[in-house]
Amino acid sequence: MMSDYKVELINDGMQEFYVHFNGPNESPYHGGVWRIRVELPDAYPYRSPSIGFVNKIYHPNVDEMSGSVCLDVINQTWSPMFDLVNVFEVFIPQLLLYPNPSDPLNGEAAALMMRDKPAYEQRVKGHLFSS
Amino acid sequence: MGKSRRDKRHIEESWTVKPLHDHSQHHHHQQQQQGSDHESSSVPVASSQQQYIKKSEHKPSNSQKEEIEEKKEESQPDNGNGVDGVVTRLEELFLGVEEQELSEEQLRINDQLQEDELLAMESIYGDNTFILERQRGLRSFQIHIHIEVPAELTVTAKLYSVGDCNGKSDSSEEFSYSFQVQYLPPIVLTCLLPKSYPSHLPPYFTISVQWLDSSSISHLCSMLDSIWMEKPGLEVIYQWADWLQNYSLSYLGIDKDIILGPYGTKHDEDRRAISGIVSLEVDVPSLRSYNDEQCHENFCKNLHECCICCDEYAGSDFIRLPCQHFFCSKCMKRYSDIHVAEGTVNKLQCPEAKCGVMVPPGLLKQLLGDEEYEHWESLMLQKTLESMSDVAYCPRCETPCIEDEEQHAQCSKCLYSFCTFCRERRHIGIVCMTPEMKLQILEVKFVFSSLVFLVSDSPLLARRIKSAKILIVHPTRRNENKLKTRVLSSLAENTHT
Repeated sequence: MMSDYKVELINDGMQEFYVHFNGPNESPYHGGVWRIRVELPDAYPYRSPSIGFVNKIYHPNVDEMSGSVCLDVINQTWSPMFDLVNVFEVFIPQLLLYPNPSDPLNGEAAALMMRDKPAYEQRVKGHLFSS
Repeated sequence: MGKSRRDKRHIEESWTVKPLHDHSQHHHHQQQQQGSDHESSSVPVASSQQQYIKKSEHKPSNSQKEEIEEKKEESQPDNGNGVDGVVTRLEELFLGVEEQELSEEQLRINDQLQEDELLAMESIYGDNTFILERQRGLRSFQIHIHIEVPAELTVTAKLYSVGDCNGKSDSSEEFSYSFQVQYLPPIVLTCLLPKSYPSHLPPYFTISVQWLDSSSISHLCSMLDSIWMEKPGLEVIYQWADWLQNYSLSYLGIDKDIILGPYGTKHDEDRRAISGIVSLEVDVPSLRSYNDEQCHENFCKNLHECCICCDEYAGSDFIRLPCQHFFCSKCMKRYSDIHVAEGTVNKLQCPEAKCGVMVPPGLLKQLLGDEEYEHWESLMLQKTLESMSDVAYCPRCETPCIEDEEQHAQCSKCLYSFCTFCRERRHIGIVCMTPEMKLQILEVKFVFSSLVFLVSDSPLLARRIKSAKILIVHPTRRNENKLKTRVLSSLAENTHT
């Protein structure tokens, strides 16, 4: 995985690092780059990694202040078969493409998305260049 | 008897301890096999008798065959045991032929050729050759010929609504059941070499096939005759075995589908054809279990990658769950340990994403060890009871009752109607305790009542009660004494142990 993505180790232990993540192509997040913090627990892969956006992102399922992500496969339905490649190539892109407004960490973003999708997309694009 | 019981058990519990259990069994039997190959009378005719004659029993699997081998080493084989023993048939064939008188020289040549040929067969077919006891001084042996099964071969069993064994497929009320196999039980060629083989006579032989009817087998026998006739006087056994292995299926017109049957036809004209088909109820499970066993053996021999740790191990190091997903035993163990240590036993399901099949308790016991397994048991109990929050236990007879919305329940056994708060007789309109007490009791309620139930039922959990008492008796309000007394006295009242 490290060969396809730009990764910064936080300490020598290989348990915490930053991954540079590009917004998926067909989404309003396209063009943006975020630093995502990954922390692997001792029990990994039996326990899920914790994922957080370091740079601000405007998304219904990401808490704007802390950057923590509400994603079922990261929390409840994690399987030991998943790996970081799954997370960065499938789960997170899917989340950005198809936010889940019924379980929001950013209520305002969720409401905006439901109410006025184009405005929501504008807001996202606006955010890309401010962070 | 013991063998058929084992067979049945094998079919039912095929997931559980199979990989770990069979691993040791497999080694054990491998040793047996090696031991007996060096002897001249290894798998005897008795095994084929078991296979084809005792039709009331299931066909023995490979491991059972080897068990028979083991017994054979100890006692004399029961030749001629069973009605249509292969031996008997061979004898029949032998007695039906008048052998010529041959010169000493010719006899010697034949003898040497026979010996050489047998050695050659043993080296080609290895473990699948069995030298049998000489009959009347004549050499006798058996070859188990494993056919290479074409991809996607299905075996079909047909049931006809009208009568039986019609074989005509014009009836639209046919019911058929098909399944795919990758392995078929071998074609067994048993030979008895007359003194004048190969100079004058071909070997006496029988062909036994578990999944063909006698008519089809008899066609195969005729083919063997033709092969001999092409070049009489030359050794022929290898040609026979080779033909059976590579051409028999296509010769019978079998391409992608084998149809079991016909049943009920007695086709005993060719005494060399021994059919192993019995009935659908016997043949279908028998073929399936043979196939599953061979697939499993093949799986165990090969390397596979565990999708959790991405390491490669031999198949025997894997554990297969009932959903058929498999993972290496190290990962399974770690997975189970972590969930039990952290108490998340509800998540102890198949690690495969979206599978959801719970890991079976029998397997958990092996993975966790006795102590941690006990821990798991109590966690499970706790979680289950926690989810049963609307269960109340009758103060009189302790039968579990379902609570209705107004904190009332009626026992279905003794018909006592009671308030689930104070556990006294139902008091409509009268408040039994203050709101604060009610709240406390609500918090404590199901923990308390579940424990009460369990204590009376299971001494194992009496221990847990002791630590739980501290949890229960932890009031923070003014009415704590009253609550304490009430709770403790009920607890004492209901604890029989």
